[in-house]
Amino acid sequence: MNRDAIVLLQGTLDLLILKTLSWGSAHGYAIARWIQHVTDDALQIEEGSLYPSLHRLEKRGLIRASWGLSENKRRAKYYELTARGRHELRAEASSWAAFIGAVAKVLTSSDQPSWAK
Amino acid sequence: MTPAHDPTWHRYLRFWGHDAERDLDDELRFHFDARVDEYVAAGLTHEAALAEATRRFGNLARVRDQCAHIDSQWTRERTMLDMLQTLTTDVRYAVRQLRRTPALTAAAVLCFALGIGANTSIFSVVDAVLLRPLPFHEPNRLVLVGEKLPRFGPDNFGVISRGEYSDYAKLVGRTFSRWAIYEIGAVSLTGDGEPEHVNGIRSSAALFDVLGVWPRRGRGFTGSDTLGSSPDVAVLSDALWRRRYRSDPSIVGKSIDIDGKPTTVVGVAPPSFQFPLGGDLGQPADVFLLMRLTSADDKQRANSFNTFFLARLADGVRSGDARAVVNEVAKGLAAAHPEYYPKDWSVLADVFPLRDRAVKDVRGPLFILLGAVGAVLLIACINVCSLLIARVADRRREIAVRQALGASRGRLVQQFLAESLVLVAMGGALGLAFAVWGARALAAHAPHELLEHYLPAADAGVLAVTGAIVALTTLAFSIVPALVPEREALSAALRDDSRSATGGRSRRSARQTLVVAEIALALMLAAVAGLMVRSFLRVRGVQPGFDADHAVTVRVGLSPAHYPSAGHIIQFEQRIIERLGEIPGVRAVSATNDVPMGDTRVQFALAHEGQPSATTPICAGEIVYPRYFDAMGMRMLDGRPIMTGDAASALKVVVVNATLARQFFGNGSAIGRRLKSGGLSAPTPWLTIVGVVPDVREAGIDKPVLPEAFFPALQTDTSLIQALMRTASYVVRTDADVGQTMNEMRRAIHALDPELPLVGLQPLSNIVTISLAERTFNTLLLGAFAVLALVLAAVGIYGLIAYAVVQRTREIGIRLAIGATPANVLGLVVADGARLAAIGAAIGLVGAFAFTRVMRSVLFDIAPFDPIAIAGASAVLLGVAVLASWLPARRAARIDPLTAIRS
Repeated sequence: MNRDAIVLLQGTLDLLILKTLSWGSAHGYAIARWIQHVTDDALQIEEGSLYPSLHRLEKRGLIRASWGLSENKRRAKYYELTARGRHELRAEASSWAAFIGAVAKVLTSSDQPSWAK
Repeated sequence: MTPAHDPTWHRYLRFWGHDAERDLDDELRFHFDARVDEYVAAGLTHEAALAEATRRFGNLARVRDQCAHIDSQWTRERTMLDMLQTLTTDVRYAVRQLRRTPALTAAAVLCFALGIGANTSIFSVVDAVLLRPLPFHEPNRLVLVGEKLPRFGPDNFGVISRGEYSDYAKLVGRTFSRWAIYEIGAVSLTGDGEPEHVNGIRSSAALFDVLGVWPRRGRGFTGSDTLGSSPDVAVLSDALWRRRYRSDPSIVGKSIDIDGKPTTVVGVAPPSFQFPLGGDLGQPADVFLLMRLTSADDKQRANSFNTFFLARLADGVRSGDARAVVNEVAKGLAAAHPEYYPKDWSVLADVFPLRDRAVKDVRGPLFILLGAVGAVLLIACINVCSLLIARVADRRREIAVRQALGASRGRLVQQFLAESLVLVAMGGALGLAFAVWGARALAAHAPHELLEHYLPAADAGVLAVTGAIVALTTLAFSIVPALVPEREALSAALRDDSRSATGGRSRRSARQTLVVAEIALALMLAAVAGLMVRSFLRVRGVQPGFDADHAVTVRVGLSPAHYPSAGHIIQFEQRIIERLGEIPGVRAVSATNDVPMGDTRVQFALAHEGQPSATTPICAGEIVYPRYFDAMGMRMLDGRPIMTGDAASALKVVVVNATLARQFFGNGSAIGRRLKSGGLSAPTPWLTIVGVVPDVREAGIDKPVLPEAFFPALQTDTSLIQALMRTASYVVRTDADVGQTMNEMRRAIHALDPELPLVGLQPLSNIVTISLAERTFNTLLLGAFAVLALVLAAVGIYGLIAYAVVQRTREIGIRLAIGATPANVLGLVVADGARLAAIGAAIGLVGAFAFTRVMRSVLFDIAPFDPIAIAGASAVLLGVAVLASWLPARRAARIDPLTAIRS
């Protein structure tokens, strides 16, 4: 593990997967690569944990899986967003944004709490 | 740990089939391999790349388990939904397919319905008679004790001599937990309404207690009822209470006249209660009376046997154990009471489970019927199966296209399963309707008391059996047709082999095998039915020994209250005979204790002078008034009949039947020889034989004839008159119309005493019919099943041959083109059908012989491999087979060679 690796919460990884798939269908490896690429490898996620998440999402009906052939002609499992998944992504993303905003407010606030005065 | 590698082509295969574990491995391996490839491309060695990829991935095994867990939960949920969805689609599709071929569908449904219906109805009867527990508490522990006297032959009487009950009763606490004795007989009900005779039973107080059944209203008997000072009490059957007393709610406590004596009704039995169970155990009673046992009863030993000893086995005692104990008691009787038994007298006893005794006569026929309907169902299934195969063959194209489009074999099987499911469900529903109706009809016409109050309930057991039959049928007969084409459907159909000269070999042989099996089964059934019919005809041909036409019989009961002594009885019965003789057209009148084939058989041990052996034979006996043989239309073979002069003061005489004369005296004349009742040492008078009459089938047309003696009523001792002549049967031979004579008789008897109940006023020919009722019933039923089987088999053969002709159109065309005549073609096709029938018949005959042992029990005067019955059945079956192939053969012969070859 890198020192500056960020431990991801379960829900966060789901959100990342949904977001990734919102660009189009992809197999697990492509999802891992994309997250790695977009975050400059800051989120050193254990790639294995991606798969239980994928299967759980499939079970919840947020994504759908089908077998296809990859670029190098190998049999791979492709995932795509379902309508419900898209809906979920929107809801989760906005609550994520609200949460980030709240945390940011706390971190950047110049107001001191009363007991610190 | 990396998942094992598969050859690539395997994976392509898995584009279709669905294998969760393999899929998961593939998915993870793809990720892994891609990562390794990436690192190798970046310049790492293969080992280093593997290590790095593994580090990046984390714990592979854990991930795999997690995913598998998630998947399996999900699959379970999804499979249920999927299956339901698939099933609905399949059923819809199946219905669509079936509607395309309405004739075939109707045939299949009808086959199933007939098979299932026949089975369910027979099974529900078997269930009621043989399987369902008797309506008593723990019925399997109820047994009857019966005695036999070795010196009078090998038969067990099934009853005991009344006084001996006290010795068996001592076994309570060790072998038995409770006991009761009972005797059966008719009782007369007078007073309110039409006087009538009903079945009655006199029992000791504990009867209801032993059976573990308590009256619905009121109470059973108690110990205090048996005291001499207490009034006479009775329990009524539910049926009698409803019918005669119109469900009077205040019946308990009322006094009614039974046998002319005021008797208090203390209870009404529950509706389901039926005792005795019928047959030779006695008809179900309508009136239960109390037997008051006194010390005088103790002397009733080893002379008359008509008391049933019913006992409940104690805990942990099996009937086998009881048998030995009871036999010990019986062997010790003579030593324990030397004052009552003649010297060197020995008694043996046995124990019979109640149910076995009750069903012993119907078990054989019922099992034969059950086997027969089983065969019918099998034939029906085979038929449907062969229909389905024929259809599969017709649908080769469809199947091939669907396979090419990627339908898996499992999917196709599922599809056929749905189709058969629809067929069987429809057949089953229709069959169940048949069954309910059939079982009702059976119960209504079955001449057996066990079914008297039996209403065929579609109870759980019967439904379960039907369900099982349906399920098995569906499975067996849907998978088969799906498997047959799979060997060839894809390849052959895509090549379009409708032009190939012969249909698929394997399919043809599969269907031929089915039809052969069908024919074998049908023949077995036909042979069994043939035997039954043959023996029925034999029975019908048996002369009853008397002239049943132009004669009427009626039974009249004289109550002990109004006709207390034997003298009263004799006197009054002679008056009745006199009055009946005055009816216009009447030629002869007499009376007897019971007409032939009635329900009371009286047997005597008769020794004759100079008898060599120590064994005294048991003979049938009848007590008759003068002119009895005239009234019955029996001519004398030798000597004279019983006459008015054979009175109390005259020489004691007896008339015997031909069998007795032959058995006792061989070819010598029986006239003038002497007989003694009860054995040589018995204190009874010698009786001189004055006449010989032809044999009469006393016990029933299909029962063997016993040696028989006829005793003059005027010379019979008083206790026998009291016991047997109180309910004498009259026989009136007339030249007038029988119906009119019956009315005149009723008037004449009621003119003497309007209170007298008349029982069974009927033409004498009726008793012959009734005696044959059970055999007639079984024969008809078996015959019906055999005809059903033949029809089904004929349909099967027809279908097969017709289909084969279609398949061979081209071949036949070629044959015709190169010079075969239509007659040749006809012969060719019919020979095909006949060949199959012959093979099936041979197998069927072997099968029919397997039933020999069971058949022996129901056949009359005929061997189980009677050549006429077997040959007849085979001929009928072959005829049916030839006929069934004849129709398609004619079509084949009319084929136009040119069109055929081009097709």
